[in-house]
Amino acid sequence: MWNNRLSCFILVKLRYKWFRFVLPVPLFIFTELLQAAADWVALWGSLFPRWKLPGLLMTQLLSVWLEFRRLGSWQLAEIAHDDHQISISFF
Amino acid sequence: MSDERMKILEMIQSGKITAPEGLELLKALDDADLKPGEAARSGMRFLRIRVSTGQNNTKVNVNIPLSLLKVVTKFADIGMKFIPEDARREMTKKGIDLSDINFDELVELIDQGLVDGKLVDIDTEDEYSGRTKVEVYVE
Repeated sequence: MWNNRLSCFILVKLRYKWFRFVLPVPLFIFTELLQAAADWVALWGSLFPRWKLPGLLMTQLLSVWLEFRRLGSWQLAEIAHDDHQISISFF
Repeated sequence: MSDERMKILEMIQSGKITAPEGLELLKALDDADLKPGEAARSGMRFLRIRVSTGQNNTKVNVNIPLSLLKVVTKFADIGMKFIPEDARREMTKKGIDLSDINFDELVELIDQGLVDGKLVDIDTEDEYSGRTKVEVYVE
């Protein structure tokens, strides 16, 4: 899990004046959850045609998610305003 | 453990090569393993959006990998539906038809390097918001 060169966390860094906070969000948990949800939606899609569109959306969402992970470590965004700053990066 | 590593360890165990030689071979394997990743990383291109305003010293820095953009363009048609109707009408009046934009083709052109350098470069200054600079480029 740790040595497969995939991003493992989203790091959300916040700075508000003197207050600093780093929130690591584990990506691999969401990958498993998304995969499970996509499987369920695909199953329902095979039973009820109405579920086919959500199934397609889930598949696309999962592909975006996997692409996020495959990219390794990179910074998505950094917004600074006066003393305040928020940055979102993948690690 | 990969087959190559196992073979090197077996060669050390059987005495065909010495431990330092084996270590050198393992290091060489590590380097070889790293190279494709580094190449992919160095070849990774980003669509970079930089916005800075003089007022309150606001800076926005967004980096979107092109490979991700390719995947996201599949959502572009869905995203278009969220544009308010009055905004859509206003754009149509000005001759802008968003449905005509082929995002896949646009990303493909950027990826091929045909659309390179700065895509947007705006530098304005007024007395209220100070200097505002917007840059969109591929790197």
